Amino acid sequence: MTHYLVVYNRTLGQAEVTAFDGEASADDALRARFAAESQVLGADYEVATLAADSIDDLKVTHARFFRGPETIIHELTRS
Amino acid sequence: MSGVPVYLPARYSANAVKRLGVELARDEVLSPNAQVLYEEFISDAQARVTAVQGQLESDRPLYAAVVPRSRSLEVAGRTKTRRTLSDKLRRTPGEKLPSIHDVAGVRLVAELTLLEQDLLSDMIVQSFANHPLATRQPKVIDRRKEPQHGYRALHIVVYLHGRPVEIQLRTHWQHSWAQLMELIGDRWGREPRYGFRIIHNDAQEAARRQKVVDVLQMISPLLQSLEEGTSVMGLMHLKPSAVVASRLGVSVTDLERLAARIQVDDREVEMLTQQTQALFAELGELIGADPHVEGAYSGESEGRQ
Repeated sequence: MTHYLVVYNRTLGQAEVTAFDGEASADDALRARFAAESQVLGADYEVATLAADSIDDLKVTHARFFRGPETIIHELTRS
Repeated sequence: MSGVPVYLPARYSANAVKRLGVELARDEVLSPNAQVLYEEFISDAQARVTAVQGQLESDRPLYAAVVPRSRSLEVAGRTKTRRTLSDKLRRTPGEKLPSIHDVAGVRLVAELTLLEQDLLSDMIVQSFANHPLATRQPKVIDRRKEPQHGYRALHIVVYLHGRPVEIQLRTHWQHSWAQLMELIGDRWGREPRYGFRIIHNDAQEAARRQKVVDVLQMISPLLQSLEEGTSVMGLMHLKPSAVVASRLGVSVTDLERLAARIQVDDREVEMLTQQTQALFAELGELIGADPHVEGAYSGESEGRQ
């Protein structure tokens, strides 16, 4: 299981993702989350910690961090 | 992971968490004591997420035996972000932090019919009802029967040492709809997610954005009909078994006969599919008219530590 820190700008739809591996990955990701939250980022920002087998899983389960509505609609109308 | 319980809850009082909720709702820098409690509160939620993901992982062979397509389940756990916690506490002042049941959450997404979704839900409920750390029966919230402003999914709230974890189980259609609504919320404000109209100073722009929301709302019942219309096709992906027969309230023999006689009305499904696709295309055109977001989603960067 890999843990991820996602710093996401809601308005711009931009996500910065950092992956944490190893036994302490959950603690490491949480420490990074609390540190990021202590910075004044503004109301547009969300700081999230997520756990998944791979980034590909996250790109499905939390698609909004990675793809805009245009892309999702394009995929739906193509299928 | 063996599913052996490793989660031990942090010790703090409900009153202390209530006071933390008051501070979080202010959306200001937390006092030092509140910050310590906040980190403990989120770390505790993370430990529950880890425990639930471990159990789900160890149960996967059981799920696959009944619902073969669950092999393609995408799974991710998360703790609620501070931003969404603060927003929720401000939006509903009567709601106290200890009563928010989705601070810890796990999301499962797969290509499933409604029947397969029900079968998976039954197995998850059973697993967590018998979990060694369970202190309460899991609670199923069926947002397919009672959609929340168009949002459809199955939520199963499970309890470890009395503390909740919300498992969201979604089909691809349900998930795509939910992601679109969340993205609209990110971009234009979360009012539509809670049944309110879009707010914007420019009346023309407000009307255009509201049209997007209205079209998305129209798609939700169409997807429901499409999923209900094709759910019987789920039998084609399932082996007639005692579990499936029990879910449908028929004998295995009847189920085998039923599965052999399945005839889906292709015209009905085709018509619903065309209507849905047309609305998605309209939605795409409406959203595409927003000039300031073009190319904004190329900004992802990924690091590894």
